[in-house]
Amino acid sequence: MAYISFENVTKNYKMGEVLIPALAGASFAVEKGQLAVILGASGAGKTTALNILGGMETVTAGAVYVDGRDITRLRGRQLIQYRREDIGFVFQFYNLVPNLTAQENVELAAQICPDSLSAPEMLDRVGLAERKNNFPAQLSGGEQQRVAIARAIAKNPKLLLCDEPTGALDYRTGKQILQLLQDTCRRDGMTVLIITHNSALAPMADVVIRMASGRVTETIHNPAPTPIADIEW
Amino acid sequence: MTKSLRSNILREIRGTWKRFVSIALMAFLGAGFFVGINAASLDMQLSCDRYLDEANCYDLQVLSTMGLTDDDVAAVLRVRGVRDAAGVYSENVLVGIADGEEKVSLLSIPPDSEINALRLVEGEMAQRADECVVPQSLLDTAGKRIGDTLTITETLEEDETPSFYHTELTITGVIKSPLYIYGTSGANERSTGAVADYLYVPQANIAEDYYTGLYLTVDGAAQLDAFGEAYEARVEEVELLVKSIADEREAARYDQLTGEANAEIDEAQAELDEQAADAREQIAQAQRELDDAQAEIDAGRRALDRSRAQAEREFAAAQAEIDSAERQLQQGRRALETQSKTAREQRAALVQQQAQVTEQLEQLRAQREQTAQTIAELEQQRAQLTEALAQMQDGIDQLNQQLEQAKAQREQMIAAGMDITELDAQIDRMELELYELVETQSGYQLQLEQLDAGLAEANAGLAQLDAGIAQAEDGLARIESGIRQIDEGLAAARAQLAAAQAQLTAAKRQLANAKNEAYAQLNAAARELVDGQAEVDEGAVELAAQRADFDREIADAQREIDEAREKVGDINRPTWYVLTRDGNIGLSGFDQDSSNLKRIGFTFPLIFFLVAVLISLSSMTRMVEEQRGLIGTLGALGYSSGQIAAKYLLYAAAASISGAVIGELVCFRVLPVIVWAIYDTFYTLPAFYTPVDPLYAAAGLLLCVGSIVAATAAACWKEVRRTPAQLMRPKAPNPGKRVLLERVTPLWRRLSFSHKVTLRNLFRYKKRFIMTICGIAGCSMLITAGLGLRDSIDQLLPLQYGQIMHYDLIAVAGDVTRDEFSDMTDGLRADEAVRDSLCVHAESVNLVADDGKSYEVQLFAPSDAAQFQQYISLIDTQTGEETACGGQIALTEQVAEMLGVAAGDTVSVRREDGTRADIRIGAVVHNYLNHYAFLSAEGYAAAFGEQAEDNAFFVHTVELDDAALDAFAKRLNDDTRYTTVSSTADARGEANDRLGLIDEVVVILVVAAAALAVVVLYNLSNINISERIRELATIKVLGFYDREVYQYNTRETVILTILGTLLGLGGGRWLAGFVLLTMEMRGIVIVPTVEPASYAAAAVLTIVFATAVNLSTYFALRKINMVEALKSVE
Repeated sequence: MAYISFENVTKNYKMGEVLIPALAGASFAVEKGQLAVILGASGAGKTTALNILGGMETVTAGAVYVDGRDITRLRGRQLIQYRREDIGFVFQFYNLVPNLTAQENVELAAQICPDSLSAPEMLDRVGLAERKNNFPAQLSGGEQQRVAIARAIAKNPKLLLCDEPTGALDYRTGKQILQLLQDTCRRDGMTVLIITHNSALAPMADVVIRMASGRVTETIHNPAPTPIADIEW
Repeated sequence: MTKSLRSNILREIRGTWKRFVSIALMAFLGAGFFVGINAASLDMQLSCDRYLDEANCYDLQVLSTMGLTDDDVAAVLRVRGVRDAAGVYSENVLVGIADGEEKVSLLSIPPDSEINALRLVEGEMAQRADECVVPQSLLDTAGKRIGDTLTITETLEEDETPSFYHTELTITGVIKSPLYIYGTSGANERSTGAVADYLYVPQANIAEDYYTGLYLTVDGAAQLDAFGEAYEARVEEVELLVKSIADEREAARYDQLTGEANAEIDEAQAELDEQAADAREQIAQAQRELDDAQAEIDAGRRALDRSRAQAEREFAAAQAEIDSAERQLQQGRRALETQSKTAREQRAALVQQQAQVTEQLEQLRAQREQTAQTIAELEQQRAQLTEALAQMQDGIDQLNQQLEQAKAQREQMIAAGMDITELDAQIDRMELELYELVETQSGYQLQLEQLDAGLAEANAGLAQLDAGIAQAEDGLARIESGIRQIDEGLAAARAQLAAAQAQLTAAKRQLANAKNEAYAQLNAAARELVDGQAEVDEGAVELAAQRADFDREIADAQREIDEAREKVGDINRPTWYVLTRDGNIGLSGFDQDSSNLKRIGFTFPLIFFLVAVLISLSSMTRMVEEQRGLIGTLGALGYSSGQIAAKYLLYAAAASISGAVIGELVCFRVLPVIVWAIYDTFYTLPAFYTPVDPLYAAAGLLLCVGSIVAATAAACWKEVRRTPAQLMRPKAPNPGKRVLLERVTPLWRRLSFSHKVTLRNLFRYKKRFIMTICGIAGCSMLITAGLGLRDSIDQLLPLQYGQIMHYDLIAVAGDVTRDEFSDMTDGLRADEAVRDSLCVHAESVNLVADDGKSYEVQLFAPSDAAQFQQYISLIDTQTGEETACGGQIALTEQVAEMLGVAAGDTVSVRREDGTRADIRIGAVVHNYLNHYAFLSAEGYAAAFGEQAEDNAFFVHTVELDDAALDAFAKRLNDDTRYTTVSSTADARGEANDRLGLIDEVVVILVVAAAALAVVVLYNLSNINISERIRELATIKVLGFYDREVYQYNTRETVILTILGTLLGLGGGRWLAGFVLLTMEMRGIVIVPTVEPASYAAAAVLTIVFATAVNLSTYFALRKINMVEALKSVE
């Protein structure tokens, strides 16, 4: 079985009387250490899939295996523990705690994980060693996102989930962030899932999952991913 | 309002109903409490006012030192502005109750006036002169029922006539009087001196020809609020007019009284003269009668003397006869005595002879006997001798025979030639023997002859003796006959004498009897005369006494008349006192109590209100901020600022109006009723009204809605004026900032992240920081102040009776003489309940301020200032040291403050008789209850030029339980010489009851504050969560457990709660002081105090509420939807 296995997952949202299907039997698999890109238009269900994988959302039907464990069966504290120890999340809008410095934001995550990584080291790795005492408001968007990534990987998670990490960034900065994510995957062997609506990014991934209307329409395995630096869009 | 806007608002309300409800709730509490408490005092005043109007309660009362007449009533009625007036007679009387008597006020019912109309609760009004109506309380105390008879007793002075025709009154009904709205439910039962109860009788039962008081109503006053200034002004107008006729009426009354008195005196003089003449005539008549009686007695006495002389003469003659007879008898007796003396001598000789003869005779007889005996003996000897002779003859014959034999033998022998020698010898011996015998026989023969001679001689003697005896016996017989003859002669003489004696004795007895009889008669007559004389003498004495009495009586009567004349000359002009309703304890107390409530009702709800508005403001601000994107969008779509803001303003208005309206409706009804439930026990109003006062309702609503809407407008304005583009961009998060504490690196490093976040957050969200602290501080302030008020009130009595007043009982004597007072002193000292006591001078005086206001205080002037300290401590407010009662007056602090004077100033002291003295103030002393002034007796004498006579006692009792103390106080109270007896235990109890009112109002405040605390905290914590929902969602995504998220969020609140609580405790102390300062209770000084326990209770309560609310956020935090929270950026 694959490291991450999404099996026939259905997710419906109930808005009053209306039933909105977000996922309608989506299935895909990602191996450990791979970098996966989930592509799709708005409303295709990719964020829902990521949220389910990140333990923030429950499924209506289907099973999701992460490292051999069905996370759809986790409840309450187990689910929090799963988020705490196995998942690193990177958001489009960074979501840093505004009144903690860069380093403190990283430490905030690191302190709750059993085998976390050193915060200054993480910041050094994302190239922000010198800005570690700055507050988020004093950092640019790219820098904030790098802090967010540092915060996510400091937890030493099994999965790094990134929801449109470059969505709020300009091209150059976005590219730097993607480079960082690719490096993290390659160098640390971390399994990374990136959501994007930008198809141009597909070549950088080991696995490209295309989604539409809550279903996986195509899963492409890319034996030789292109380095980010070589990708233009 | 467009349809879309309306539906937008409705949808908004549905979506954020919690916020809506919380703003509504704030408005509910703020407006409701504000109007409710105010309404409570307004409703009290309104209900009272309505009752007073309904009862046509007086507006002014006129009292006069010498009573008022119908003319006075008529004169007052003529005063412009006076609507109606009625004279009332009232007096304090004793009524018989279950266990003794009770002092009550008796008032007359004016026959044809509606003023102070009584409200009939049960039964019928008293119509006849021997009927009465009473309040329920008196019925209860007396243990009577309608139809029962009530006995009233009047304390009458000497030569005072009873004021009532009937004292056995039938109770016909139960009433309420507007003059006595203040408690009959036990509150003033205890107050000694004050009269607790009352009863009404028809005017027809009043024997006096004057009224003690005159009640009048003022035109147009009933239409005004009795507690308002307009009423006061209107009444004052008329008061001045009434006062303006006082002079004239006083003079009229004076003329009437003196005129009446003089006429009465003249009449009395005439009567006296007439009576004196009558009495003199009677005395003369009595004297004449007495003289006649004396003459009669004297005549009787003379007649008696004559009779006595006559009788005495007769008796003397009889006595002379008797005396001569006696003398004869005496002679006879003497003759007899001589005679009998000779006879006795003869007789004695004869008796002696007789004795001699008898003795001789006896001697003879003895000799004869002796002789006869000797003869007998001799004859016996002769017989013996004769016999012996015979025997000897026999012997001789025998011997002779033997001898012849022997001789015959011899011869034979010789014959026989035998030896004859031996026989010869024998014959010889026999011959000898025979010889001897013959010899002896001859002797005997001689003797016999001698005997025979003696015998003959003896017989001759015997014969001689017998002759002698016979002779002697014969002599004896002669002697005895001689004696008998003498005896017989003596007896005859004696018998003769005795007969004479008996005769004499009889004569004597006869005379004595005659004498006795005569004298008895004479004596009886004499006694009669003596008795008659005694009677006459007695009569004379009596007459003299009567004459003296008469003279005295006439003199007394004359003196009385003279005195009366003098008194009339001394009569002072009467003085009128015109009093407003303030003069009525019940009405002024009600005014004071309701005004106090109003003051509390203003301060507390104001804070309530402020907190509520503050919280609503932050809620609305948050709402506007949350929706800035939407605002931007609407702006971009071309809506005007006003249109956009309208939604929020309407939302706020809808929430606050609905909350405020409901709050007002509820509180207008409920709070006054709760408050009234407390006061109801003290005041007897027939009905309590709780109308919604539109003015207050509008004010509360406007104030509440206006400020919340204004706050919303301010919040909107800030956002709406930004450009849509600015708004649609996510709001730059509050930049993180280093706090001061971070500069202290070593300390900062030790803190965990959550602590760091907490600290930074505290300072980052300044608005929230202030809001939370203010909210919590407000709540704990209200609770602290409420509890502090209780504490302050609770410690009043311990302060007053622990530090100032040390006596157990004070007893004031009435109008008694110095002797009576010293009797009372001794009685008290001897009482077993008394440990020690002190006599002082006590007097009610007025202290007059420069502006003419005067304050009544109790003045004590002890002659022994050192002893006085054992009973009352005077503690100087400036030095805090105890001072002695000296020649300069010491005032208690509140009255000094009211007068605006301090130690070293001079105060004008006016006594009841109007005399005034300016006295220097020596000290202002601590005191918490009532007003007092203290001055040494010397100081008093110096100031008023008159000795301060002792008239009151301070008493320390021995250890007594309540019942024993009550019994002791009652014992004194029953003694009519005392007018006021008040134990500190009673005074304490009374004050306690009164203060308990405030105490209970405070409980309502504390409960309300607690409610506010919960709402405020809940609101704040909701705002806090909504404001930071992204941050909280983020840390939830990071994998913080629920507990950790809770702590991350709550720690701030805990710190703010603690800070707010601390601030509130201090603020509460201040607020309690402020409220007490504004409360200004007459005669009560309350020192603001908050006990540690109250601080603790306030802190604990606030923290408990805060914690409870915080715990509820735990669930709110758990429910945060991470995906939703993080999805969009607003």
